[in-house]
Amino acid sequence: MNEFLPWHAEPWRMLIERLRQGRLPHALLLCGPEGIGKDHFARLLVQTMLCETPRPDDGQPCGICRGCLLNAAGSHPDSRVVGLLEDKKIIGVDQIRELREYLGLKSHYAGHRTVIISPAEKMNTQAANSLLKTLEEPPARSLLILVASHPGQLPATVRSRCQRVTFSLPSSDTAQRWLSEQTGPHQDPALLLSLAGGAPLAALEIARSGKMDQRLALFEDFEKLACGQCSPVALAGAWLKFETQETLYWMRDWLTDMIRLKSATQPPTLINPDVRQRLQNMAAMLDLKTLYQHLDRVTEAARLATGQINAQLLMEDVLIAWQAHLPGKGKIPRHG
Amino acid sequence: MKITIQRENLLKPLQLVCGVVERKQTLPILSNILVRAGKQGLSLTATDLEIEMVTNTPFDGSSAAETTLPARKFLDICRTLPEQAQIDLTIDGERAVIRSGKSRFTLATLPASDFPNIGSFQEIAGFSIAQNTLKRLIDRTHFAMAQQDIRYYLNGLLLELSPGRVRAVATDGHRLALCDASAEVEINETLQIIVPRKGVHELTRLLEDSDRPVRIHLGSNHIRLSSPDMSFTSKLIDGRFPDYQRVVPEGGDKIVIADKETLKQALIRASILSNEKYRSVRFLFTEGKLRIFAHNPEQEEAEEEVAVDYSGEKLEIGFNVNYVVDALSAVTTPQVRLILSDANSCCLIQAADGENCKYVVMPMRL
Repeated sequence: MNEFLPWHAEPWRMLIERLRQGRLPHALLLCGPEGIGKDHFARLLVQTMLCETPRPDDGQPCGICRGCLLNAAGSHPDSRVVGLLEDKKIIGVDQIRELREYLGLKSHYAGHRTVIISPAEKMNTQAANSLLKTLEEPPARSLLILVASHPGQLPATVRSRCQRVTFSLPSSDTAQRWLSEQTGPHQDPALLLSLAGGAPLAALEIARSGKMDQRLALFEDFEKLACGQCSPVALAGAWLKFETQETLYWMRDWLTDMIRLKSATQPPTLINPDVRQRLQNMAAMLDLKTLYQHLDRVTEAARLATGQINAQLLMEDVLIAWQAHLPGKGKIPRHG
Repeated sequence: MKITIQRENLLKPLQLVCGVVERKQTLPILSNILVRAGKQGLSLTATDLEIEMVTNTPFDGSSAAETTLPARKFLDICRTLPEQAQIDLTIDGERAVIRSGKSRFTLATLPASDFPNIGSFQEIAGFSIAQNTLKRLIDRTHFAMAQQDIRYYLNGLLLELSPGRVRAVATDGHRLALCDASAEVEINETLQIIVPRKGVHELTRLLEDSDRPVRIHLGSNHIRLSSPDMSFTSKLIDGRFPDYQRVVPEGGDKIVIADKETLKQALIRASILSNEKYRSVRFLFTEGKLRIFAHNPEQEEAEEEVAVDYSGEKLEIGFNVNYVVDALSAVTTPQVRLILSDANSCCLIQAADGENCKYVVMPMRL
């Protein structure tokens, strides 16, 4: 993908215009929901800034000059990307200190120097504070791009030193058209988008990684558990091989759908329209209050999963509680 | 591409460029060296994105081509081959084959277009200077550079070019070293560049102790040292060096002439019992005599007395002993001149006869 995404046309046009006039700020904060291509946008902007002959019409990189070739190889000396290191959940202060060294030297090819920090909200306090100095006194012709899906988690001192560019979800038409171009005819773009909360790149990721099958398998287990056909502890163990947070997000979506099915008078729009009937059956066994209680529990578990927590115990807790709510087990009386 | 070359002809340039390759690399391509064959010969390039080394070697071969080879492995293979061995290097697609006698090695390559070499840049100034002159200029100043200071522009050596003169200045905020040399600088107004620490150390390694001239090229972002068979390039530090002229004290009225070696040895002895963290040493100048005192938190004390040529009033002043010893070590004449004014002002240290090197050390409050 060497082109800007169709729903990025507006911010792209604006930034290219400012780049041409030499009025680009020293630091940009790209924010917006996850999975809509902010990182892609940042990389493309960097590529065009380091391109020797950007296309005159829309300012996109040519893809054939030395700068573009080096960028494609990931070895452009005037571009740095700071992200999460393997097995790390935060961006540490050492990674930011290295930047200072890089920005202290002049540029390699006498052009711009760029830095992408993504996901910027994963910087710990020390790292963010260490970045402040650079944000306050940036060297000439350098651009820092911070990418954050949750900019609220960044310290206000960092936020206030960047110009914010906000991205929003594309319209479902645009997103579906783009997605079907990418995935081919065998996938249902509407369902994928619905599962990804409308974010096209997240939807593409689901389609490409085979998570659709994984989701259905998980749902089947979930149903079995609801009917008392398997033990929650065994299931929690079996689910360890999947990413805990993602599993919890699937579960959250199923619960949300069940709540919708229960409360709506007309057939509601669902996140998981493909399993509507099965959700309906499950929802019939439960009352609304229980569903809401469980939704809270799952949301809280998903939040906990971002930290240092034993995934197996967390999942066991959620699943045991879920089974305890079910009338089939008869352990606790039905509410209301 | 096919290259045939004698082991000895390849080994020396290869060792030179491999010195630049860092052992730990974030970018895989940087552990490779760029190999280019053409009419001019065989050129090898290595970089760590801060400095770059290029060598040129004549060879017997056919076509022009370029690729990149893993530096360390290529060097180790050439190094361990027997002496006077003939080396055949053939590049075939993504593989490179090295043959020599009955040995055969296949190495993985990366495309040459991925290699971030600097290549040519626009020269804004240049000058020729005798190698030993430049080496001396750096040797006498580089020790005062800051190390990993947050003021990144201090982590390097300032080279100031003005018509007919090259000046090197280094400071870490506590002491300063300045040295001048004359050179044919084709320039109309003063130009300042800051060479980063790493580049400075590489330069001293490369410069020989001979008066053969060397050509220095300056671009807006780079400094390059070139000779027919190699060229070394370093990036420059992006920043403005502080106004060092204001730091060099003027009009100090207390002039002390001392024997450099005697003073230095006395200071080194005294420093043994100075505070390990602050390295503070007290100097007491009286008529014809300098007394040096040091003590540490354990209440151990050292006292030294050195005969000096001094005829002013009594002066007591404190210094970081390491800074004074560094400055004295850089002075080349047997006699050294210290110029002071009072206990709160800087001390200027110079060779007793020459004016072209100046060392400034800040006093410590005792």
